[in-house]
Amino acid sequence: MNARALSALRVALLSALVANIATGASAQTQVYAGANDNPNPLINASFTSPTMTYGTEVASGGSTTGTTTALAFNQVRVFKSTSPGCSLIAQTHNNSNNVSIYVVNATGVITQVTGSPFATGAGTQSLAWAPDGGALYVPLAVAGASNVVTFTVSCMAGGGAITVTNAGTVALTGFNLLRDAEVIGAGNGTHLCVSGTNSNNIGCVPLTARIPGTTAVNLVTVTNVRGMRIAGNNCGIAGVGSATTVQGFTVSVGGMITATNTGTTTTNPRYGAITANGALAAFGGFGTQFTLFSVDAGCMLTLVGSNNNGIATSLVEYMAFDGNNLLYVADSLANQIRVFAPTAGGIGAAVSTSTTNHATVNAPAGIDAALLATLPVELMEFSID
Amino acid sequence: MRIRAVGLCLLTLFALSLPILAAQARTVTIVVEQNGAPVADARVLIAADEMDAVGKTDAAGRVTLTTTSTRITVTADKGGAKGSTSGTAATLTVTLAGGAQ
Repeated sequence: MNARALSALRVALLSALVANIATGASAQTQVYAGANDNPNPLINASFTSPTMTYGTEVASGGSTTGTTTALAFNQVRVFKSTSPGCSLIAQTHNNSNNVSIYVVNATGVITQVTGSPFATGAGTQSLAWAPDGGALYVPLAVAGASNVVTFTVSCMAGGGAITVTNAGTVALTGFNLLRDAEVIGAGNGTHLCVSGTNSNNIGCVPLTARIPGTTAVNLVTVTNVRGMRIAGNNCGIAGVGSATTVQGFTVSVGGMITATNTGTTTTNPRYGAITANGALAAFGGFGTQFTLFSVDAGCMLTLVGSNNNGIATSLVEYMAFDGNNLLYVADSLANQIRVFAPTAGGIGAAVSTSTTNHATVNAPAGIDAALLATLPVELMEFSID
Repeated sequence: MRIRAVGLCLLTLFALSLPILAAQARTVTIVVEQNGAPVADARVLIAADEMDAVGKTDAAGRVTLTTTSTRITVTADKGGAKGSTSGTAATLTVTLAGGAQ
């Protein structure tokens, strides 16, 4: 092969690679969701647009109070590790009052870690992973209380032992009925940010050796706050559960929250999602619709639009973005997951609509999505003649 | 004797702490009415601390719910008529207004 042909081949390959990365066309995303059922297995699937392929549900050992007509608040959240064999999934169970933790091995097989499920207490609904996966925080949604349970997690890369330890419970000051949580900062994380529904506020408490302090750096009022998500650029969103409003905010490196502007949703907000780059945010609500916002560099929200699934017996409350900004929407009580490719210009039609393989219509509840880790390959010597 | 007394004290403390540790589930009946008459087949959305629920009223205009929340909020609609209420009572009545008469 001559130099000109080789150069053309290189350009073609690079162009294809760039186009592929830009569109995420061939990217595979792993999708995980709770079943909103008793027992409450882990729904899992692989998505390569436009096809969702469901794997066999994984038994959790936990249960929820969800029924065919009631969506019990429970979350599933993924920690995607760069170390093979250390990617983890956590799932709450509001009826059995515990949390299941699973490990995903290098071939995608999901198994519960030793000791799972782990007891947490009444009000188990929400979860937050430390950025390095070394801790899992479980804020408890109990009226008149503000407790956070911390689990520390150690993982030996390559399929070694995973150890989960209950590191204790901390009662936060100034909060009532904790609803949601996020950890900001790198590594261990510097602050645990939480929302308090009955105290009508959000705030971030410092972390010391992974344990949350009791006092927030500051408190910002968000009435009847429901759900809260913070992107890697520290832009955040929180829903006003008693109105059709979401609050935008920014968090400083020191954990200080500053409100930006508000956006209007179609239904009273429940749970939100924000892209890793902080450019798009979505909120599900008390009904069959979700609302999408674009978010600028100053963490200001601009309404993009809303979507209604038209299924009167369903609730559209939980959703998640993957690393390519695809949006995975849980149509709870309809046993359905939809996938959208939204942009700041619009939500667009669903690129995929699928029924999960759960046995009842209860599902799904909390949902999370993670791009499949690129499998490491060894570059062999080669030549082109 | 001392051991028995300490044991009784611990038992009493445990029993007193139970209501704090575990919220009690209770049944709430929601009645949907319009112009004083029950409304069958109305869509009902219920917001509680631990869940949201969606259902339809029966022929008597009723929906029942088991919840651990002290306070719940209910919205109902049918044929363009809407209503909402919230409270802590065992029976909550939603009165629809508007819509086709």
